[in-house]
Amino acid sequence: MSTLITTVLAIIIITALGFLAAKEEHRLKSASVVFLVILLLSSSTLSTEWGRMTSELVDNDEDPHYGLPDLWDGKQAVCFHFPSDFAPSGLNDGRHHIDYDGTDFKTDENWNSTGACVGGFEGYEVGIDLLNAAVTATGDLFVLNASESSFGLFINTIAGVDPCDTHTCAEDFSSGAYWELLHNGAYSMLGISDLPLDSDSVITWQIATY
Amino acid sequence: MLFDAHAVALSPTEQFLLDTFIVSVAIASLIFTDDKNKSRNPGLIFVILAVLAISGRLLLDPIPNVQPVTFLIIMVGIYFGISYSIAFAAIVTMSSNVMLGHGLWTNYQIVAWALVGITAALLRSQFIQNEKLSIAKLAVFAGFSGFLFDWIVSLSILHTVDTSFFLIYLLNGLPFDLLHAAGNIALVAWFANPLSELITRHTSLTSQEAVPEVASN
Repeated sequence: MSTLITTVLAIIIITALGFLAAKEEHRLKSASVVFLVILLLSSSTLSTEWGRMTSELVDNDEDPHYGLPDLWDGKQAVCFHFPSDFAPSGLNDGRHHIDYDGTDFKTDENWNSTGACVGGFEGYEVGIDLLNAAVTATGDLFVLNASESSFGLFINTIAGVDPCDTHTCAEDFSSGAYWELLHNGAYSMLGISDLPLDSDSVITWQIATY
Repeated sequence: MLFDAHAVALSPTEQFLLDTFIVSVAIASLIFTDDKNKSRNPGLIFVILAVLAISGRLLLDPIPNVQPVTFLIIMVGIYFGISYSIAFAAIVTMSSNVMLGHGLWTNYQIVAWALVGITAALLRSQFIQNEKLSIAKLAVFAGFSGFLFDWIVSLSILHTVDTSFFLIYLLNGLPFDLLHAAGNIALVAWFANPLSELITRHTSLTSQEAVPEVASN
């Protein structure tokens, strides 16, 4: 929001300078060209920031892109869903939506889980690369603890949350909990290291029990 | 995800019938022109403006939502009247969409541009005062026309989504609409006066040629 206001103010100020700097008979010509050029140069930022703001107004339950903001239609995202008592600080009031540059722009308080989705990514072909991009975009928020196994990368904790802290895990492994990987809403038969992605893939991590 | 008329496929017959209707409207508009132009021969300048609009729209296609058609149709509306602006909208849109992509959305664009031209024609007396073009008023109208055109074309999404989504869709597109408006205002600021002079000179020359004695006296 602050970026949007800054951009709009910059456009207004530069256009006003373009208006005042010209002779009276050429002021409209000068200001209109300055306005158009500065608008074109900032159109990408302006559209992105405006899209983030208006996405708060969209509440489309039948959204085919897993309830994500329409800003991310056709783009890739990673969601981290935590049990409500175990969500990282600041993410326990619903599902937050964090853009590829780390901007938290929307909170869906009606979503049936807490945590965050990090999205707006494009061009990732393997799950692990998208996951790393999402973790990097959010700084230290979703630090991963993973170990290599014969089946590939195994996620032990996300943001310090161990599934066995949220559910009872038997010492003989007869029952327990783990970070489950979903790809486009369905249980993934492939590990994150080998998961091929679509252009609009949505990866979801959530705690499951067995 | 496609929301607008691009998502609606017409059968070849439906497309042909729509195209035939549009061409018929364009031809009829040229035949049944406004009375005030009957003694003149505005055909040449009209063709030049149409070529400018088509080539300009194609040339500026890489720049998002900045093109000269809206500005030119405003000028056509002011100087040539309602029927010419309807013809202009149909001819320019159909011709340029041969290159840019033709479909159901073409009809929305024609209707939107025709409405801009008709409104300009109806407001002619506001734009020309003491035989002089009011650039400030024209710039305001051109800016507004950018939004008007985009909003009318946006109606095409109602083919695929319900009305509850329409306002959100319009709101989302405001930065894009603003580019259209800014382009129109810049074109008015730079080219409205020279173009006005060109059109006036052309139409008055042809009028004089029709009655050479009056002109020589």
